[in-house]
Amino acid sequence: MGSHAAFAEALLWFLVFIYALAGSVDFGATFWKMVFARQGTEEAAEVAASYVSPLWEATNVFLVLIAVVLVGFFPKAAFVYGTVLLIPGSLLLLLMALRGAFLSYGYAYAKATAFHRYVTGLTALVIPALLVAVLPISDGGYVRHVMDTYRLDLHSLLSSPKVYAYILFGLTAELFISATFLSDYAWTKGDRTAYRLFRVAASGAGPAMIIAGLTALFLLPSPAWLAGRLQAQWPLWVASLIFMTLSMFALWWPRSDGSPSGYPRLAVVMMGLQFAFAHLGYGRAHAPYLLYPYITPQEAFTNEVMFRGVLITLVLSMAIVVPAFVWLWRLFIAGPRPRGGAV
Amino acid sequence: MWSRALFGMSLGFHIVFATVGVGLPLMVALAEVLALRRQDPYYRAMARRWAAAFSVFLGAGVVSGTIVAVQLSLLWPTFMRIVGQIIALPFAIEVSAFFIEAVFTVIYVLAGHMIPAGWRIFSAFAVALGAAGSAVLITDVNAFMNTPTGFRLEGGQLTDIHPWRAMFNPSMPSEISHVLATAYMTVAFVLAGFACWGLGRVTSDEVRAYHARALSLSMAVASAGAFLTALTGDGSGKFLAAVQPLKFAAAEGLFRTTSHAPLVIGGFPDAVTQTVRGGIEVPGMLSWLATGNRNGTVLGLQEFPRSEWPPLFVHLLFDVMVVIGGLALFVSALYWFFRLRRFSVPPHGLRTAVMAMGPLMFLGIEAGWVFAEIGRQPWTITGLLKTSDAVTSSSAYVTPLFFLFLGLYAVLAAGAAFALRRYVVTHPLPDFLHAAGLGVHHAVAVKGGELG
Ligand code: HDD
Ligand code: HEM
Ligand code: HEM
Repeated sequence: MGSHAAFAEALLWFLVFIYALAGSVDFGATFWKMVFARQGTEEAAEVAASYVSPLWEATNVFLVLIAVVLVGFFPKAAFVYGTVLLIPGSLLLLLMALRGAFLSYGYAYAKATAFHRYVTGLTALVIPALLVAVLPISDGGYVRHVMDTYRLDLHSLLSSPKVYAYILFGLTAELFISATFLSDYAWTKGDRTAYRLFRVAASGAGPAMIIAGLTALFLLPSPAWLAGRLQAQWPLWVASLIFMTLSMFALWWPRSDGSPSGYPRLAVVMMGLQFAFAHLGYGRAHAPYLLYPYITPQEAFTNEVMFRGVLITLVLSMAIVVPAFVWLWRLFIAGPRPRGGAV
Repeated sequence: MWSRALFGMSLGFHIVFATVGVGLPLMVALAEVLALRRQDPYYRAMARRWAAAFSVFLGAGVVSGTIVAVQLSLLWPTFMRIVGQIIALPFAIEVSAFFIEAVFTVIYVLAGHMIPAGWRIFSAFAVALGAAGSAVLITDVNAFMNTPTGFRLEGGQLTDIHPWRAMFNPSMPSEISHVLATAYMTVAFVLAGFACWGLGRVTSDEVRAYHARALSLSMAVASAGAFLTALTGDGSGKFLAAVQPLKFAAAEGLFRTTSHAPLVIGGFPDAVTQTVRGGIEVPGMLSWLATGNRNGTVLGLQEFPRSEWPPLFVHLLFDVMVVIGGLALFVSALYWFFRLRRFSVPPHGLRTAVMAMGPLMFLGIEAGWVFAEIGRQPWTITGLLKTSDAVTSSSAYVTPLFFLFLGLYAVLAAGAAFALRRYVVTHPLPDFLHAAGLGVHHAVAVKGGELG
């Protein structure tokens, strides 16, 4: 049973990893679309838009999947998080609803209006930053156990510099991940102007993200239980930093064939590895608690029958979903640029 | 209290878009099939136009669904804790239905013109299947709430848990079939209404040809849906009478256990006098509905402790739904009556009636859901979890959230209306048909909406 709980936790954390990348690209692209919608940088806006329109719904399903897996594997954790996140969770939902709805309303217009771009772009910018704020909450210190129930101490949450460091990290990570990814996407589509713009954006956001991340984890004091465990993961942090550096190099490495410098596909791979190591490091440090000190994976774990049931349905679902997704990817991302809003 | 209001509002909003999401892709797929089978480009134009409406609505459906899913954890944390232990499977399977729907919607809508017709039809049906799957699976959770099975309760602990048995609970067949039938009927009537509207302001032969086809197709589906709705609704009623007699008694406003019980249509149940004030009585009819026999015995509210009675106004909700179901059958019958007498365009009065059915359908859906939910009170999960125990303990914050979400839904609804309007203005039907290679004369530009 114990090992099943650990396995379920690892699986959940893996899903979070995928969503962190896919969601960052999705939200970030919406933001870049807004930024680059000006005269002269329209190509970049269009690259971003042609990524967003096919993929945002599929990305949203992933978020629902994480919620469902949390409820299925760790009902008690869903219970406590549900209770304490009423306010921040509702605000997040509100922003997500605005963004998603106005993205699809935009289909009805030949060209999205400035209003649609601002609503979707600005909400998309803040959503991932707020999502990341769940991490410091899970580190402990902001949730109280009063009587029979749990309360989020909003006051200490909002006055904690650490929380802001996490939020800044979420923001910069979103920009870095999406810009790196879109630079490769622009390259595939043969769009050099857009490629240059996204490359510059990625090079600015990357180092900023590293600084914000180091501040959140190490410069500002972590809760005692976590600090030592975080330091113990040092090889993973070092690996992460190395891949970060490599991804920067890959973006600017000169090419001999006369095309603009940089190997964006390589940069994307390096970036993925960088995140994988960092995500693993944080996850391993955090593993004993889903929410310190109240919820451990063992204690929140569902029954064995349900665990097996959910696992089986997940595997079967993936058998259907993955091929469909591959088709989608080949049609829209790897293939020639589609015309937006064909109906 | 506010938690219930907030959640009810979110669901009430979601259900509108969800119903469109279930029904519209099927109509698109059927139009695609007709386009291919009859080699008739009007149907292809129809499919594209309906698909445009679908992609506008889908966004609101997806985000309101995400809200409902997360609010379920935020507002009813205790409920979700039980769900996670017993009935998490439908939720888990549902995610793949969402995924199928999302992926194939994109393929159909954005790449439909780039892939062969066969694959296009396949994609359209995949969307319809994904949407139906979403509806089936979530409704299954609701069915579990009505008739929970697959576990035992021992000293406050859940034991002997069988997730699959919980999933295939007794209400499942009747509830799911009824929800699907009503969703298809609803969307078909709405489209038929648009077609009738368009037939009232025809500007060219092509426009008339288009609307006439749209009307035939949607009335065929609407009539079949109306028939199935009555059939499955009757099934649900018989099921309730047998398995949840208290809910059934509340639906009918029946206080005393009676054989040869009359059906009372309308009227307000009065708990003090234990009678229904006003209302039309049909002798013996209720016994017949509940048991299939005019002398059958139907249990009354008096058989149950007063503290377990749901609010008695659910009787009215139930009647609203049933009356609308009756109207749907009546309007369908009239339509076929004129059709068989070779009216190519139905008379004005009937067209107006069909147009009125669209909004009434949504009223019926909302009434049906509110009946199903309130009729279960005071329980959230019958016999297992009381609503008062399921609710969040952070309730002090819920009131402002209610108004925040009220504002959000107003914005989303207005945005959807503007977007549809915008689409119709920028793609007026005559131009649209023209672009599809149909006809050239569109002398009078048509103002206003005709998505039909
Ligand atoms: C346009 C919508 C619509 C129409 C015309 C009808 N229904 Fe309905 N009904 C629904 C839409 C609906 C619904 C929204 O789909 C419900 C709510 C919960 C559910 O399972 O389906 C429902 C529930 C529902 C239930 C409760 C099931 C439960 O609580 O478990 C019963 C007994 C009926 N219906 C019976 C009928 C009858 C006898 C009708 C007469 C023709 C009828 N309905 C027409
Ligand atoms: C199919 C899945 C559904 C689930 C899992 C579900 C769950 C719940 C829960 C947990 C509650 C609170 C407890 C209660 O009052 O019973 C509730 C109430 C409510 N639901 Fe549902 N519901 C479902 C479908 C719907 C739909 C589609 C509607 C659309 C109108 C709806 C309308 C309401 C309303 C109006 C309330 C408030 C009732 C009250 O005041 O208690 N329900 N539902
Ligand atoms: C407690 C009740 C419900 C919950 C928690 C819920 C949850 C959701 C979620 C999370 C989504 C978005 C999925 C995505 O990201 O793509 C969604 C969409 C959808 N839901 Fe619901 N839902 C509920 C009730 C219903 C009901 C009663 C129906 C049908 C009768 C329904 C039909 C759909 C459909 C068809 C979609 C796809 C989006 C669309 O086409 O509009 N849902 N739902």
